[in-house]
Amino acid sequence: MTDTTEPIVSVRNACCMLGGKRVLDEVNLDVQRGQVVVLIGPSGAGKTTLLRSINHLEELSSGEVLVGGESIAHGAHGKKIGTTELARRRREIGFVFQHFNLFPHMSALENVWNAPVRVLGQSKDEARTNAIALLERVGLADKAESRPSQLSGGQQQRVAIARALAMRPKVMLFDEPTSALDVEMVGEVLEVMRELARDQMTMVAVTHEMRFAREVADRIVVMDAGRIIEDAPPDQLFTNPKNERTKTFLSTIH
Amino acid sequence: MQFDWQFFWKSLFAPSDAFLEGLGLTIGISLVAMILAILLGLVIALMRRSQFALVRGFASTYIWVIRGTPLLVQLVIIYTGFAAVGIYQFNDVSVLGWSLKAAVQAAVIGLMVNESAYIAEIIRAGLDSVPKGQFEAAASLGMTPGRLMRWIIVPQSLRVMVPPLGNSFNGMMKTTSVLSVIGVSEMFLVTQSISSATFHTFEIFIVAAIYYLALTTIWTFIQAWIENRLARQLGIEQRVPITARLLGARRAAATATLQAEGAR
Repeated sequence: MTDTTEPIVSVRNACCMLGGKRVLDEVNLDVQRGQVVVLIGPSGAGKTTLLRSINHLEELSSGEVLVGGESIAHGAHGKKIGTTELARRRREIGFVFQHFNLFPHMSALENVWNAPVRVLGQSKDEARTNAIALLERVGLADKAESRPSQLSGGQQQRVAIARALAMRPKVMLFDEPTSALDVEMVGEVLEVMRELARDQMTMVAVTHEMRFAREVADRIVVMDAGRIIEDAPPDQLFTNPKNERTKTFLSTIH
Repeated sequence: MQFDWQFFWKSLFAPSDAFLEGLGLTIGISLVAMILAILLGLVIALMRRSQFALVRGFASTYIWVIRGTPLLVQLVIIYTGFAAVGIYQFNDVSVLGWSLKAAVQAAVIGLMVNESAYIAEIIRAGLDSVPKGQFEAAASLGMTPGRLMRWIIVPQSLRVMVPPLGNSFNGMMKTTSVLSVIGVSEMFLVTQSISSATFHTFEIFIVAAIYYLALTTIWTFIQAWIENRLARQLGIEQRVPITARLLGARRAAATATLQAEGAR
């Protein structure tokens, strides 16, 4: 790339051992501002681990993750940062979980305004106004006072996206956001993600929704056995994959 | 059978000042010791989650030792034992015009220490009951461990912690009767002295039993109110009939919990 601007997410030589198994093996990945990157690959390839390591939900055994040029795990002298500093650096990274993980003791609206008030110190009025706008954006203004338990899976996931957006993140990470949903609810969540992409949000998503990947992604990154085996724009990847294992993987999902 | 009804009714409805003072002391010591035990138990529970092995080890050892020894032994060690070897001697003190007897102080400390070990385990179980995803979601929003606990984890774990904590308090009110051993003039000791002065052992202990029963019954109502309020705040429909609580059939509660889980 000729673009001289720094990548917003930069994973360098990431290795991760989980339970004695090498889940990530020397992974390098740069994501530019505004890019949508979709991670695909067979299960156990390390996609979710890579995504989780970007906001330090998973700790690397070696290597480094930089978000906005700043390490997510280490301070200026390579020393591990404390929990407070880690929390500060995580604010700028939105994470959407496979199982939503909404806070069950709060209404949908409070799920969205809570962190901006408790973490960013916004006033409740300001945070609530923003939260209402965000719920409108994901099409759930009428569900503001509902508890997560009263919402469908698709609605819960849209609230979860609004909750992450409320922190005004620089990058959004999606970990199989539609895998836990009934088929008829997948579309509404993907639609919200499409709109985010249209609004130039930087996104990294692990997903099995190939049509979404083809339509929305700028790059598809294929992983297998803890390594990135191919990284290409969707047109090229789907029509003319270079790697043999990519071909095998694509043939199993079509 | 010679049951002195007159003595019985009088003791029940017009108890002596000494008896009422004993009752007051039983309630007071239970309340103060319980509050302190919750605070200490919270500290111990958090120590068990520490990132430092030494701190975790200390907390585990504390729980092991305290839960593995009888309260009576702990009380005598704290009150008489400490004084005997010169570690600490409890003295009567006056706080805001109230005179606090040495034995009462030792009693509160003893009950607090004893109960804190059990409460630490209750709190641990409560924190463990919150799914890992809740911790991760809160962390991903940039919450520090303190905020994460305060706003996300503790409110959810209360549902699991409050019933056993309430039962602990119920038990503690009855356990205060062993304080008579170190000479705290709570309800049991007063009853005993009335018994030996009047020889109406049966009557006066029936009266004491009725008072203990009244205390625990009133508490059961308060606990039911707290639990229902909490369930409402968490958006869970949970109604346990008060008779089921008092008479011990808690199956209804279990069903309510399961339904709540299923609704998620």
